[in-house]
Amino acid sequence: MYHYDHHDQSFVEARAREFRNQVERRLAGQLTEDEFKPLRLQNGLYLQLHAYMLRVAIPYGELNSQQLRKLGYIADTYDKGYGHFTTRQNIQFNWPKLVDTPDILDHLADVQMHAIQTSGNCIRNVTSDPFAGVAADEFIDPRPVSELMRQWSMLHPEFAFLPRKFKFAVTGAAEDRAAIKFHDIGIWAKADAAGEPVFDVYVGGGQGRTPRVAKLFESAVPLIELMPLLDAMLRVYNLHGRRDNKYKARIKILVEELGLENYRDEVRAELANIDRAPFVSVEGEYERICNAFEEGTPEMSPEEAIDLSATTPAFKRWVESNVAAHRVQGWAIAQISVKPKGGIPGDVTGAQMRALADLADHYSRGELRITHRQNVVFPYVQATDLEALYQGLSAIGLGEDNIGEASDIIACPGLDYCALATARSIPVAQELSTMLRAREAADDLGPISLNISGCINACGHHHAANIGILGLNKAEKENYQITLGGRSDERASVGEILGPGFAQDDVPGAVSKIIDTYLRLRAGEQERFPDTYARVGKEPFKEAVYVGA
Amino acid sequence: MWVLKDQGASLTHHDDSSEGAAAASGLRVDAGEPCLDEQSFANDTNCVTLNFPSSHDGRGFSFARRVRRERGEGVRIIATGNLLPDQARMAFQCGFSEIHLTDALVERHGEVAWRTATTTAPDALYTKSGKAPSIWDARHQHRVKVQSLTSVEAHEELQKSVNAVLLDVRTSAEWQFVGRPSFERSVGIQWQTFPYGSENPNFVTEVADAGLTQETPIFLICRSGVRSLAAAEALKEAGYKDLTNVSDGFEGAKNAAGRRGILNGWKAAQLPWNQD
Amino acid sequence: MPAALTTKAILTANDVRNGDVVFWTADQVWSASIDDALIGYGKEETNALVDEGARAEAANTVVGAYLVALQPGDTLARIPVKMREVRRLAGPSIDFAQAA
Repeated sequence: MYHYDHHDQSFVEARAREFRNQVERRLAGQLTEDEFKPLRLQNGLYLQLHAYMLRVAIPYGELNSQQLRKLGYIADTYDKGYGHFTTRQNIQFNWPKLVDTPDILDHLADVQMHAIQTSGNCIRNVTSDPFAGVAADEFIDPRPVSELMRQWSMLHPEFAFLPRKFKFAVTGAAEDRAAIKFHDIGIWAKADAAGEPVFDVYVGGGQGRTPRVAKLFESAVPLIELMPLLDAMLRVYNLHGRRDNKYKARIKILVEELGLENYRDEVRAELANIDRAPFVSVEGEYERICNAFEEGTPEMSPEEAIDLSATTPAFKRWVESNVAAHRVQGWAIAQISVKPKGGIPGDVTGAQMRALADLADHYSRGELRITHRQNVVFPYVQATDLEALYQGLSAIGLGEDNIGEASDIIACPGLDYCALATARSIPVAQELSTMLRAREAADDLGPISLNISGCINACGHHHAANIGILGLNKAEKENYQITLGGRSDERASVGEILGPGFAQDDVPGAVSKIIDTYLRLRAGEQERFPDTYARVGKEPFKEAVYVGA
Repeated sequence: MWVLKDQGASLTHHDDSSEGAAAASGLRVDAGEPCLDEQSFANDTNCVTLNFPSSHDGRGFSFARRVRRERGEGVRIIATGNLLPDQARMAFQCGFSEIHLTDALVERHGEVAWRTATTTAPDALYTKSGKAPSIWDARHQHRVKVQSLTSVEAHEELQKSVNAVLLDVRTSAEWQFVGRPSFERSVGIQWQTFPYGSENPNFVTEVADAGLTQETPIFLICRSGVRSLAAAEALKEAGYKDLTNVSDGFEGAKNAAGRRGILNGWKAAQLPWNQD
Repeated sequence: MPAALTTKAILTANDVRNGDVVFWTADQVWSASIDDALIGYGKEETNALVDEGARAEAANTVVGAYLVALQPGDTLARIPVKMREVRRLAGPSIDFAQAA
C-alpha cells in the first residue's frame, strides 16, 4: 500500500492542529455554528440525530492492521465500542464528543490517517475497486491515480466550497466493482497499446432524488492531461453549478440543464487557457506513487492451486461465496462478510477490529480493504491459509458465507442515527437478513444485490440495487418503497419503482415474493436477477407482490 | 476597516475613506451574479473587487483564479464580504491580493485569528496554487541530483575505495529473510520501518550515529533502487557530499513472471551476499 | 429555528461540547431527560421557548435548538407528534454492533 513520506505526514499533522484551533474558536464564540459547520464537515464531523458523528477517511478503501487497531482504540476510547463501515469505503463513529475530536484526529495522524473531506461541499474521499492491485481482471492498478487525486484534492483552495458534494470513483478492471457510473465523475483506467495508463472519464452520475447514470465525457485521456481536465471540469462546475436549490446543485443537474455537449464545450474552453504550472510534476509524482505501492506490496510467487475436496462443507461453501480470483496463482482474495444473519450491515466492534488486524497480520501481509458494500477484503491470502483464516473469522462472528448474495445487504444508518433520515434502515435489514439467510441455506438464489436507504438521499444506494428499498415517512409512519432492476456495475442502471410502499412488517414478505418470481422466471440458473427483470419486465413481479397476496 | 495582504502576513487598520475608496473606484462584482467572468475579462480596470455573499459560496475562488490568469500580476483583486479567517489561505492561493474586512468581522473572529489565518493552515499543498509552496514541486522540481551506478559498477568502486561504506536502507525483515550484500564496511539503517512502512524519522541522525560523516563516500542500496534514492536525496539535503545510489538494488526489478533476483540486482549479478 | 408552534411544545437541542440531546427545563437549565422539559402551551409560551433557544445558541451552550411539537392535551405527557422526534427521544432502536 501507499505509505506517507514526511510531506504527507506533516500535512495531516498540520491539518489536525488547524482543526484544534477551529474547535477552540468555536467554543470561544468566535466562529458561529453557521460558519463552523462547513469547517467541521470538511473534517468529517457531523451533528446527527443523537450526537456528533465522525467519519474517518479510508482512501480508496485501503487500510493496514496498525491503522485498524487504532480505529479499534478510537471506538473503545472515544465512542461506544464500535464503528460502522460506510458505502464510501470509510468508517464512521456514532458518539464522539466535539471536544475529543482534535485528539482523535491526532491519533489518526499518528497512523497516517485523517478525516479530511469525508463530508461537506467539497471533493470527497476517492473510492475505488476493493480488489485493486490483485484482481485477476485488472488492466491498470487504479490506486496510484486515486492517490494522485487524493493529494490533488486535499485542501484544494478553489474547490472547498462547491455548490454541493463531489464524489469520484476509479476502477481499472473489466468488471466495475467501484460503481463509477453512479459518481459525479467516474474514471475507468485502461492500458493503451504501449501499456501506459489512459483514462475514460464519465460525468454526471449520482443517486439521491435524481438518480442518473454517468455519461462518457472523454475517452483515453493520458495521465498528463487528466489532472488539468479534472481541474477544468471542477472549475466550470464551481462557477456555474446551481446554488439556489441544494437538490439541484450536483453536477448531474448542471450537465443535464446545460446539455453534455455545452458542458464539454465550456470545459474545453477552460482547458485551452488553463494554468499548467500546478501539474508539471504529475508524471513524476505518478511514477513515485507507483513505486511507493510497488515497494509496499508483498512479494507473491505463484504457488500450487489448492484442492478443496478434503475440506469441510462449511469451508467449501465459504470459499465459493467469499473468495475471488487473484492475479497470482495460488493466492486468493478473501472477502469477509460484515453481514451476519440478523446483524447490522457494516458494524464492527473495537474487539473485532483488533482481531481482524491480527488475522490480517497472519494471513494478508497486514493489509486489508473496506468495500463500498460495507465488507472487508484481505487481498494477499495464500490459498493454503484460507481454511485457517476462515476458522479465525468464524471465531469472531465474521465467518458468514454470503458475499454477493441477497443477505449481503447494504444499509445506511437510517433513522436510528441519521438526522436526515425519514425511516429506519437497520431493523429492516436485520429482518430481511434473517429471512434471506434461511432461504439461501435451502436454495441457491444466485447473486442478488439488495440495498436499503432510509431517505431519498440514497446513501444506501437503493437505486443501484437489483432490489432496492427506500424508507419514507408516510403520515408519520415508516413506509418502504421497493425498486427493481438497478445495477451498479459496468452496465449501470437505475431501479424502477415497483408500486405502492409497504409497512415495515410487510417488507420481508414482499421481498420473498420478488425472489420467488425471479426463481420461477429466470432462464436457467445462470441468468442474473437484473437480466431476468430486463427480459420479463415489472408486471410479473407486481402481480406476485400486489395481486397474489 | 481592516486590510489583510501579503499572503496573510500583514493585517492593518485603515480609515474607511482611503483603501475603501480605491477599491470602490474599480470594478465591483458579487459572487452571486451570473456571468461574472465575462464582466471582469472585458473590463480594463486594474482593480477588481469581489464580494462574497456568504462564506459557504466558493464561486469567488474560481473567479479570482480566472481573473489572475487573464490579467496577470498587475491587477489588484480584492475580496470583501463574509469570508472566514479559515478561508484566507484559499483566497490568496486563488489569486486574491487583498481581503478587506469590516471592523465587526475582525472584532468577532479576533485580530489573532486573522493575523494567524494563513499560518494555522497547512502551508504546503500538493499542487501549486498562487505563491504557496507545493509538495509535488518539492518532491520533483527541487530534487537534488544523486549519481547512480548499477550493482556491478558499485561493487567495483567499493573494492577500489579504502573508506567507502555500503548503506543498506531496507527493512530489518528484508535483511533477515532475503539476505544482505557481503561487504566489509556495510551499515544497515532502515529508510522505512517494518512492518508498516512509515518513513524512519531518525534516518539522518542514525546515519551520523553510525559514524558516517558528510565526507564519507556512501553507496546506498535497497530492494530495487527506489527507497535508496529517496534516502540518498535526504542525506544530500542534510549535507552529505559523496553519495551513490545502487540503481538496481539487491533483488532488482521483477521479470515477466513477477519474480525478482533474476533480471538484475546485486543477487542476480552473483555478487557476494549472505543470510543470517 | 422554525417559527413557534401555537399548541404544546418543548425546546430541544444538542449540547455543543459533547453532542448530547438536551431539553430546556423550568429550572432554566438544560437536562438530558425529556421528563424535565418545560412544556410551553400556546403561542406566547412557545415563542418564549424559541427565544431561549436562540439565547443558548448565541451563548454557545447548545447547537441546533428547535421546538418539538407534542401531542395535544392538558396532561404532562411529553409525546412528540412527529415520528422523527419519537425516534430521537428513544435512541437507536437496535443493539450496537454485532454480537460476536
